[in-house]
Amino acid sequence: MAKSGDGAKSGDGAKSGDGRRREIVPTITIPIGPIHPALKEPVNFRITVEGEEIVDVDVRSGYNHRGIEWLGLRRNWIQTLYLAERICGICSWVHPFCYTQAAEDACNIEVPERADFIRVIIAELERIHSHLLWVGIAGYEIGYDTILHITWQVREKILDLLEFLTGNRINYGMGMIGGVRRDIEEKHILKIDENLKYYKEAADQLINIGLHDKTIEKRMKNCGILPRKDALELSILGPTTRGSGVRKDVRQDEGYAAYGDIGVKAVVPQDILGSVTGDVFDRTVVRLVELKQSVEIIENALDMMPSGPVMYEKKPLKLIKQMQKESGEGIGMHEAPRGEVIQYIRADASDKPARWKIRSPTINNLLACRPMLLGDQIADIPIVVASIDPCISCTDRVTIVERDEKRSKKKEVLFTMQELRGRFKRKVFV
Amino acid sequence: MSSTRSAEEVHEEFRKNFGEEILHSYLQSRKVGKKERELKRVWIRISRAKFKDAVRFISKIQDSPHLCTITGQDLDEEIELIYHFSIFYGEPSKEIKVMIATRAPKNDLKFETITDIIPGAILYEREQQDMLGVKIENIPDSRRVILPEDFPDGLYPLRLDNNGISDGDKLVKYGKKW
Repeated sequence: MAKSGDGAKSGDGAKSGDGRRREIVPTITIPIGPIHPALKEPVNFRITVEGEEIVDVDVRSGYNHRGIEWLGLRRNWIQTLYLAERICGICSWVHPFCYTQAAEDACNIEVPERADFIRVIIAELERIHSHLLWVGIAGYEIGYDTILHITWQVREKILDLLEFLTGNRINYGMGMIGGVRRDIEEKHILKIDENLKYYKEAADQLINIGLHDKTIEKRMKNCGILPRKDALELSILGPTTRGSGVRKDVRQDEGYAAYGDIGVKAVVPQDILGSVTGDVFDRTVVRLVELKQSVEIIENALDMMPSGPVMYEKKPLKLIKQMQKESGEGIGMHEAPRGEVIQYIRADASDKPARWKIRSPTINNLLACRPMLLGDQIADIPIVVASIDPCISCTDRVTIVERDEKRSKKKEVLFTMQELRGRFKRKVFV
Repeated sequence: MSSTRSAEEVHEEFRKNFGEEILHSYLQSRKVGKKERELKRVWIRISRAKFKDAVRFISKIQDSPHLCTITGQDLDEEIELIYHFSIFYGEPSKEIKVMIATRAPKNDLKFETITDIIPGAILYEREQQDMLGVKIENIPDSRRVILPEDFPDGLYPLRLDNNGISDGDKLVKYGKKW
């Protein structure tokens, strides 16, 4: 708050008696995380405070190293694709998207035109669900749970749509080197259209709430400011850097897959609000407007989608055989909901990658926490940290497995989502 | 904002400025979408002595170039670090990814830090120290970032030699906790 210069009345008060008060108030270091109710991922912030004001921030991670890159070097091309999908539960399309692009680059595999459009559609559907999830969490972090309930209810529909398109609510299993595994047919397009109409209205409503709600304004404005200069120097990514007014969006800059044909423009607060502060509010507005942008991208993609095959090679074994002959290196990137994901693959004529490097956006965005938090107050920590949208690798629901005692003790019964909902209703409301 | 150039021009500029210090370089291009556009990447492998000059050179081409990441890999005799930069971002389909790679033999694993040019490189440099056991000289903060603090010393997960973790290894043998 002190950084904002105005509206920081308590900060000004403290400064008038500056010299003396600073000597009296001792600095205390507060650890937040790796396990903390406000941060649901294993990361540790050591925050040094003087009274209520934050004067130093240190971030530590490494509490949950899973060795995915190491594992990837010991599995063949197709098995690694499945592993890539399981890096994150929320971004479960971005990693296979990057992996397939990098592998195609390294092994000279051409992707059919239609597949590039389907990839874009899935990616944008995922962005909608991820941003809705984030807006809910942001509402929750500022104690405004109504937002959480509204957005997560709205989000349910997109998960159902993804299930209809791919068979799964998360971990869609759509990716394949040289294309996608399932085509989007006429029945799918009808359902997508229906949902897009709903989401257009929902996005408008949410933008209206975001721009005009008093609670949001009071909690989010002038807090967690990331200056444009810091965002550029620290190589910050995604909505976090766009919130500071940097026009950086890989979809726009690179135009990979079908994004270049569709045409994407980076969403920055100066276009919407007229000015940039780089605070939590700006980042929220960027994400809300991106909801609407995603809907438009999907509409355009459906219009422009050419017909044709969706896969380069249908038989995985034949594909691996072909990839075994190739050697080279390539990178794949995608603007994930949290920022740019980039992967590097080197192939050296074997059935598995010789090096597979993954960079997810949160690692660098954590650097942004320091300039954001300095000078802010302790109460702002949860929302400021949440505003970079740290990737919490969690899945939002598990299918309950129950043993069917009557028939056989070993048989397991899997419920569909529909049955689960019915079940949940009965138990709670009757 | 510096004026944008094509990938070929950037490639040519590097070759002109660094001449024989560039060990290997090539342009990679790939048609995407409706096959009307090409994604272009510039790959440059440069000697270790001139590497930092190359990074300075790229920050002259673009003010605050975006460092995407650093990839480290074990190539039997040597360790290679690839720095992925994006330049000319901010305009539709103008961005070029420039990969600058440099190598060091395993008996002298020292690289210079680039945090004085690009402060955002710090986490990636720390990551390389963790995973491959390279030494980044003059790094402002050399604590671990990817691996847990109590991970055994001298063990680097992505090394393919004896210092790495091989297939049958169980981490139990390296200490009580593991």
